[in-house]
Amino acid sequence: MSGVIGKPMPRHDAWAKARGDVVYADDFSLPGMLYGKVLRSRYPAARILSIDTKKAEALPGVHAVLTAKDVPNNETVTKFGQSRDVGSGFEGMYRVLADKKVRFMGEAVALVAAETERIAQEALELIEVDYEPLPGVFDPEEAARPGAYPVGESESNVIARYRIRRGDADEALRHADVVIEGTYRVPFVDHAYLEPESGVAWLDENGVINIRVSTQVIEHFRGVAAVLGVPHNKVRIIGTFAGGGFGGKEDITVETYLALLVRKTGRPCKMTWTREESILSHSKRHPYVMRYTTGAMADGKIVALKADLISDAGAYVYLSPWVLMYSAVNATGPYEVDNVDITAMTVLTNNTFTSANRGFGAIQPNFAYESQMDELARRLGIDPLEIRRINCIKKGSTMSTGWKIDRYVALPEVAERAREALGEPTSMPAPWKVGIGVAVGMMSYGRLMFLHDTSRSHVRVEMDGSVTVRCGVPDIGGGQSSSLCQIVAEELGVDMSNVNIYVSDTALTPLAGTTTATRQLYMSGNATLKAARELRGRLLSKAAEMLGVSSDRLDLKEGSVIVEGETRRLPLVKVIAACANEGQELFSEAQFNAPFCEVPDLSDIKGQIFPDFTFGAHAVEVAVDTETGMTRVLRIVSCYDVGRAINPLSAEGQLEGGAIYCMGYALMEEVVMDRGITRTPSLSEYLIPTSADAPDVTCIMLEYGDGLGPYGAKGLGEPSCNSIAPAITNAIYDAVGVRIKSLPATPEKVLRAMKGDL
Amino acid sequence: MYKMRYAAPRTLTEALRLLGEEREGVYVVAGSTNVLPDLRAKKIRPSLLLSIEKLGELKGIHADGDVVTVGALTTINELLASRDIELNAGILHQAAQRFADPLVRNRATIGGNLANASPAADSAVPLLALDAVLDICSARGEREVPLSSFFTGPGKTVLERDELIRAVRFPSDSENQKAFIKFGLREAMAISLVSVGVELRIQKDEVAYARVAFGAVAPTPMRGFRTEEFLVGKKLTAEVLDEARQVASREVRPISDVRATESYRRHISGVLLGRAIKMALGGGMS
Amino acid sequence: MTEGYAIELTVNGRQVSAEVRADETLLEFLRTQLRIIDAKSGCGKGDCGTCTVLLDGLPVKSCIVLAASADGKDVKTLSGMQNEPLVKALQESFVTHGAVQCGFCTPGMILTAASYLNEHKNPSRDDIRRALSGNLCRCTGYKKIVDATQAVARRNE
Repeated sequence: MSGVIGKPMPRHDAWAKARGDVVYADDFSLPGMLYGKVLRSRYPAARILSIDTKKAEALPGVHAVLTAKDVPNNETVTKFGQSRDVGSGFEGMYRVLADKKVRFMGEAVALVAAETERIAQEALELIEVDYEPLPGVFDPEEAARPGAYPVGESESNVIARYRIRRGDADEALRHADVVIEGTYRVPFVDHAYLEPESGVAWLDENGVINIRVSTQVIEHFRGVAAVLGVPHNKVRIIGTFAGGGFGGKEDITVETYLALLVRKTGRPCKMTWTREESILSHSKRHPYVMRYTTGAMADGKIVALKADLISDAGAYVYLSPWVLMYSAVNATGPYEVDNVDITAMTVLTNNTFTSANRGFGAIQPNFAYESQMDELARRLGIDPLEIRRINCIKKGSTMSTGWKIDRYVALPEVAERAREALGEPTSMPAPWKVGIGVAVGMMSYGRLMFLHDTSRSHVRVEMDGSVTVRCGVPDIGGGQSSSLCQIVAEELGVDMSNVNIYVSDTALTPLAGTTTATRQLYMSGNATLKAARELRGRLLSKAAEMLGVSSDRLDLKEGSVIVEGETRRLPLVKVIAACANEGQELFSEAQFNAPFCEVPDLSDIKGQIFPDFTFGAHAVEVAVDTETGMTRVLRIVSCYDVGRAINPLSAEGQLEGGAIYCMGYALMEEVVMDRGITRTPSLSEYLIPTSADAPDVTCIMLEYGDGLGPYGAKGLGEPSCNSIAPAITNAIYDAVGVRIKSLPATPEKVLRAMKGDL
Repeated sequence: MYKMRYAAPRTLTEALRLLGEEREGVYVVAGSTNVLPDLRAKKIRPSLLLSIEKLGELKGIHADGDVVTVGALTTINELLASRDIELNAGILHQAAQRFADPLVRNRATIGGNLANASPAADSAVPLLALDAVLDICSARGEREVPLSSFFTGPGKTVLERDELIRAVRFPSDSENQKAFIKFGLREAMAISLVSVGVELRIQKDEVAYARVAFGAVAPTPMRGFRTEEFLVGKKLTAEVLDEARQVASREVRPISDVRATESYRRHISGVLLGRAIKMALGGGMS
Repeated sequence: MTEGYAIELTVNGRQVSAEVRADETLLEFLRTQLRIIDAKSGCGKGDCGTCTVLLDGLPVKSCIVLAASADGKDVKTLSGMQNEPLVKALQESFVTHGAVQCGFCTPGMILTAASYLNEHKNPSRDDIRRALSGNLCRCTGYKKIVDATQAVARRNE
């Protein structure tokens, strides 16, 4: 082994990015290219009475104006890359362009393609839409009641209900020494990746619509083809390096619009959303109302947990049922509780639709259960770490669904290590008060097992010993493709700089599945490892033959075959040449399959539905200004069992970035919706942390090597942002004695909690 | 198709002539940090963008004797770099440090920040506390307007359509004690939720002179006349400070919006006033 | 009344004559007329810093600078500064410290850092945080960016 696994490595793409050489989606142009724009609804709920596009069509320079009637299959279902049909209930209807009813403000009503962006913009203003405003419904609990305003035409506003039961929670609560009750609320938030949604599409000489787009899911080529009514092989998606994704580029953004405009005009077409469009109309993180009751005995042992979770799905189904499934299964957190009753519901409203966002339904209940745990510890006078020692799951524990955990669980160790590293509290003068908070979290990596997830990768050695990898992995900045290069370099004993990778192309790279669900290192890492090992085996057996030794004594290192205990070296190129002469395949393409299960009974979810979990904890120190309620996060320690850090620099990057991403969730981020109208329309109002707001994050990575990924790695992308929010609100409690049960913990909210009326 | 012209005269005379001739539809541009977002949001639809960037007459910081004069085109970073400002108007220096972010400070000008007349304008608050006066010019002549009567509403000032701010003047008095505090929802690139500037002179343990200004708590940046009146002649005991906070909380006229409620802004106005007074007097609060 | 306004300026060391619309931003001009793509568009109103360029040596947000007002000025984007030793040092430091993730903020961040380190020899971490506070990053949490910048500052001591 050449030993690049576990070493901090500059990513293969870092230099190009540092030089500004990467051609992101909007950086790409083609001769004769038109500019596409979307006309968006001005109302959150309305009936479209008529659309008059004549004036827009007559504007010089306009090449197409499309409305719902121009879309071959305007009503379609939201898939997110899965090839397995899991049926209705999970796959909801959405419309490419609004028809009949408008369901949220910012919903696409018409498309324009024109010679310039300005002409396209002007054309939008010439489209006359006659709306009949409708009352709408904006609160999920109200929307769930019988007789509520119907968001759609016929379907119920309630999209999905799940239940998980274990033991008898009500009975156990009656015998509990302490019962903690609380209602927790989390807001709509935006992903706020710095690159807005963008792509360029064109028709090639084979009649294929090519779409070069910033996306997490190139498998949307199937959905685009379905809308157009063309075979799958007539749509090709090429994913660019994405300027951030975080779940927001998991659903289709510009792809279908571009395809429709290219199909209509025959010309290449670019579409890039403005930041305001992005905030208004791409998916948001689900707001939840979470009612929790936890019962424990005086010694701290939890005996019962009841939770009722309601999420706002917004105007269309998208990934809401999946997100809710994560929430339900994660509702008890990493605690072993014998008596559990979880009910969960997601409901349509006339708010902007909600879908995937880093943490995908796991982080909302994490805020609730970790707040409950902290309160329980305080009530019983038990140290917050001790309450977790008493209750945390370990290998062999049984989860609420009856799934027996069969892999190593680094709990409560991650919390203890994080707290220990934080050390003694800082002393600050009045009016500041300092507090320390700890929270743990668990989140799956890899998709729900009933999706029957797979990934593929292709590795090829060249005649000069360099290596080419092809894998359809979208790279959204987490080092998704670089870690594959590292795995190949390790297995084939070549330098990282000698490995070249092609990613994210539905026509030319083996489909690797989505860059979502913290699955790429796990899935495509394993597929690549499998392909590389197969090739390695082939090269080593040839070398064994050439050297006259057994292949188990051979290793590949620094471009040579080395023999155990000998100084002999055989250059890899000679082995490659020998294989080529004999007509042996110098490539290997492999598929990795995750463990599969069937769709559970949704009214009584049982068994294992995730491949594995990543466990982590945050310990934070905050200072609260007791006169203004302002919270400053002074220090953050993030401790995770990463399984194995393939590239410690990348792994730390996830932990540091994840902590600050959701520090924003805890303290400042909220897409404010006022009866369906976004009141935080730009990055002037929707505030994310700046460098001046972010403290240094100290990372502690435990490497127990018991993950399902290559070399025992676990996934970190999404788990990394779990547990920071409750750690911060628990620290606020420690500082000033108020429990913030509704995010974000703005200065005003904290001060009102402290002082009541101002 | 709607068209817009651009002009960048090199002399003040030429600029004032254009401004006088065009009147309707002319929009004066300096650093363009506000104009471009406003154009983007279609808040304005001018027929002529008149850039005054090249007017040397509007540049430079001069401190002579009792008066500091700051040319309207002085950028916020030029203010920050100026020793004259740091020595004579530390409060303006403090405000400049919290202004938007380091990049915007390279373009945003003091004249533009005032003419834009945002209720939250970060340069207005210290300048109100400094009793600044604006030199305003037009083809018709020159006039001076005290900053305290310059703003008339959000985005509105007493500037006539043909007028430009030429410079901001304020007395250089390093004897007085001053402080500025900005309270925003994050550490940089934040619009003030409340900002406060104070200038005080203490004689024989009593407040002999007080200037108090608030940002983001009224339709315009405002002087806290009632708070000033309350403070003058008082010894700054803990009780007096407490009462001063109440006076300030009552005096401001904030609104509720997506960032905070009216009552919270009132409360913060009082808190910041108390802190600014302590800071001005060397209490070392931040 | 023509819509175009003639400007002459230097962009990345090259003399450029062009016509711009009155309301054309410097960013739009660089990206669409000159096809310089290392300055990015993230918000269009000065909120994110991905469009950072140097205007007469000072870092500015080119989405809120009028192209016309760059007349007679010197504009530099990252791609025009690849041979500057400080820029090179920062690029290498960003790469080796893992300060680059999605990379969309990186050109602007490096330009702001370079211009700051040109003027400030011995900054603290907090100084660096404040200096970079007009450039958002959503991936890294900033720590490695501050690490990378500080490492270059130390080398300059």
